[in-house]
Amino acid sequence: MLRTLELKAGARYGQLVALVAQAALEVLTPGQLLRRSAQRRAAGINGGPDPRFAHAAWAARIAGLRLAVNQVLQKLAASPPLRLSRRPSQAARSERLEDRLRKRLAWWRRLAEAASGALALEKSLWFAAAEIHRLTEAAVERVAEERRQLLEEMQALIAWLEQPTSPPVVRHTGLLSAEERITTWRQESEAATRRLVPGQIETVTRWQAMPGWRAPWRLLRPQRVLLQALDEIARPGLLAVFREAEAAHRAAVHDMERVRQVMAFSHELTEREGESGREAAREALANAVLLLRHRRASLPELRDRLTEEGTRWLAVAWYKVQLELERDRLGLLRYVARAGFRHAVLSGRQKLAAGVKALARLTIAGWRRLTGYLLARIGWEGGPPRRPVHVQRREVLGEALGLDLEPRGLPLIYQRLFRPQPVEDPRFLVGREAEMAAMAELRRRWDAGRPASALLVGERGSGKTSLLNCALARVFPDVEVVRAEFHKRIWTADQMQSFLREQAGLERARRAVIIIEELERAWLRAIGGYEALRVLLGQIVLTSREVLWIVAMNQAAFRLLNAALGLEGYFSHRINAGAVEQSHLQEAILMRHNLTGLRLHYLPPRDARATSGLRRKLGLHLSPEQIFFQALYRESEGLFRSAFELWLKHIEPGQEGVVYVRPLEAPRYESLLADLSLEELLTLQALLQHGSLTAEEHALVFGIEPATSLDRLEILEDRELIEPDPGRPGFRVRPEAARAVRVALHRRNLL
Amino acid sequence: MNALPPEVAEQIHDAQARLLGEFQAAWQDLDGLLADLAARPFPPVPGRLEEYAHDWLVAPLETLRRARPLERVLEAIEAQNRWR
Repeated sequence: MLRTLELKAGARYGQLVALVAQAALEVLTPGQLLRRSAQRRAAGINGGPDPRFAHAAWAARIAGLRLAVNQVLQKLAASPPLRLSRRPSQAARSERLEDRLRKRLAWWRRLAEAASGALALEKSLWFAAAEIHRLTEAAVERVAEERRQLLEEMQALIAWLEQPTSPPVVRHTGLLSAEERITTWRQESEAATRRLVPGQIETVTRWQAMPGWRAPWRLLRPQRVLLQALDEIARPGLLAVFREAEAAHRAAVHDMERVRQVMAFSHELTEREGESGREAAREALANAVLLLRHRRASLPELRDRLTEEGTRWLAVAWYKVQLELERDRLGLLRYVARAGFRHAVLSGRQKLAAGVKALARLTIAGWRRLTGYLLARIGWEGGPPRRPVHVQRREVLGEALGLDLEPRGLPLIYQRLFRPQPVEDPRFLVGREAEMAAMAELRRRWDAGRPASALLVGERGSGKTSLLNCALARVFPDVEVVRAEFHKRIWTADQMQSFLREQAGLERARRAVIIIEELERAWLRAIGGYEALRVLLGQIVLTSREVLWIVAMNQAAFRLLNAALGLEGYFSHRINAGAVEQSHLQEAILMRHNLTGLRLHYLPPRDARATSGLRRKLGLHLSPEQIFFQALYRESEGLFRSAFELWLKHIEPGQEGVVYVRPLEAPRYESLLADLSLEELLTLQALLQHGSLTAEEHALVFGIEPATSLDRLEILEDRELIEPDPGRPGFRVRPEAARAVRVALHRRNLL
Repeated sequence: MNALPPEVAEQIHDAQARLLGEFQAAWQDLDGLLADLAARPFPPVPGRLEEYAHDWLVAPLETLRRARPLERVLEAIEAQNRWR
């Protein structure tokens, strides 16, 4: 009888267990509402339900639960009829009934454990949140400590610059990269999560009073959800702010390093060049102090921002954790229904409608343009009216480049570092590793007694002489070196023999390195104009076991002479010292600039398309610095001298140790090149092939009167395409115009 | 059906009354906690998590842990089973 009573009352017990479990979970609700609201605010998520309404709904739910529990308790209190059955209970039936009772009890225990698990989870998530917040603050504190050390070091360096006799400041700030910081944070957070948050708990989707055929159990994996949210949301957000801090701190360290280099360079300059060097050194040191002061004042205090961003990203991550856990607990369909499926559909529909409208507008506009163009092409409609041109004039290079080609007043140290002279100090040689290795190989071959000679080919201003200077210092420091150059053009056999006798001292039998530069000045594109070269090549073949010949010439001359004389065949090595990569060009410029102690500020280009709009949205936008160096590389064609000259023409000294870099806009050569006559183009071609030409040489090449040649050259000079060759008679192509000239010659297949 | 002997019927009534009493006590503790939470002024705009976590989460959970309403209900049912 008692068993029957228990079984009858079982449904009430189950109801009570389920109701009490639900009521116990409702203890969490106010805290959850507040937490969710706070996290939404911290994460910057606007809108969402008002927590006060949710609180009122909670109070109503509590009232409902109270009523339901009281009803169950009243039913349980009603006394059941206590009568014994007439039939004695059979053993099998009694066992079955016992089993049912056991199953029910196990079911209720499982319900209770699910409720306890959810309560414990809430608490563990809170402790994990507090711990991860603490770890984030510790990471921020480490960034602030690094900044404090940087400020101290900068202050010490400023004091050293002002009192150079005091002991030097040693580098003592070690920078941590953003990746290192985030790795530490991630490891610590992961350890805290694994320690504090359970790997998995069982929860229920429906509070079912009695065992049924549909299982209401659902497994949650809070640890995995939290780790995923931290990794996918908080980590990238924190990494971004750590990168910002790293960039600021690296810039400070970079400036301090620059200042140390400026000090060393100033010292060298003073020792090497006396009073003139001392003046430039003083200027550089003054710039260095300004640079450090500026960096010290502008080193951002990122602690508040880091804390704010860290809190925000953590809040977003926690918000996602709660949503994920809620979704896992309820199941996707019920979650979507609760999260406002209707709202999502409506919002999606509005967005779709807006997209369709925008697409339709674009299509109509494009269709109108296309039909207008086609109708104009077939003559149905007149094209857009053309503006009458009243005056037409020939464009000069300065206008095409949008530049004032006259040099401006630059700081002394700048003029010193960027003077158009070949490099002698190997530390300024950039991007020539392969060429230096070829020189070393040449030396080994020569030392082994085998014929060795090299033809060094490269555009004018590509750094051939610099390469030779550095090769002499590094590869040939212990051998006799003769450097010969052509002060004026020679092209007859007698002239060459006399040159070799006087300049190279070939009459004496000895072992030496002979370097001849600017071979393009040892010929003339005229009948009999190759004799000098033939004599030289004969000498090279005859003496190449004793004498290591290194002959340098420009690319245009090489192309022609190689075709005419098979130049390449006379040399054991051909070294191409042509264009370098953009990064090398940039490095060469900034290495010099850094020794000035001046700060750089790149002005944004006038063409906003390069820096904003769609490019920015797609993440393809470039910084003004990147845009400048891309344009510089394009316009200089990777040639050092052209690049330096363009650089100097685009910088503008400002106040307080700042140098502004004006944007290098892509020049519009079209109108400049369009009206160049064939004679002018051929003249430009001859100038490139010969390096430079006087009016008389030009006349010999083209078989015209010297006066006519002079006219042609002066017209090109007026258009700023050529200029008098500094240090030598005749005219050369201006470095700034080299690209335009090459473009023009390529178009006519002349190069 | 036969009527139970009066002393057995009384024992059964006593056991049921004990069970009900335990149920009511457990529920009253839980209901008291909920009533206490509901009586508190609810902050319209919450600040940082740390500011309210103790009052609204940690302390109520601790009270609930001490009160053990759900465990007591289950224990009472199990005790009833054993008595039977």
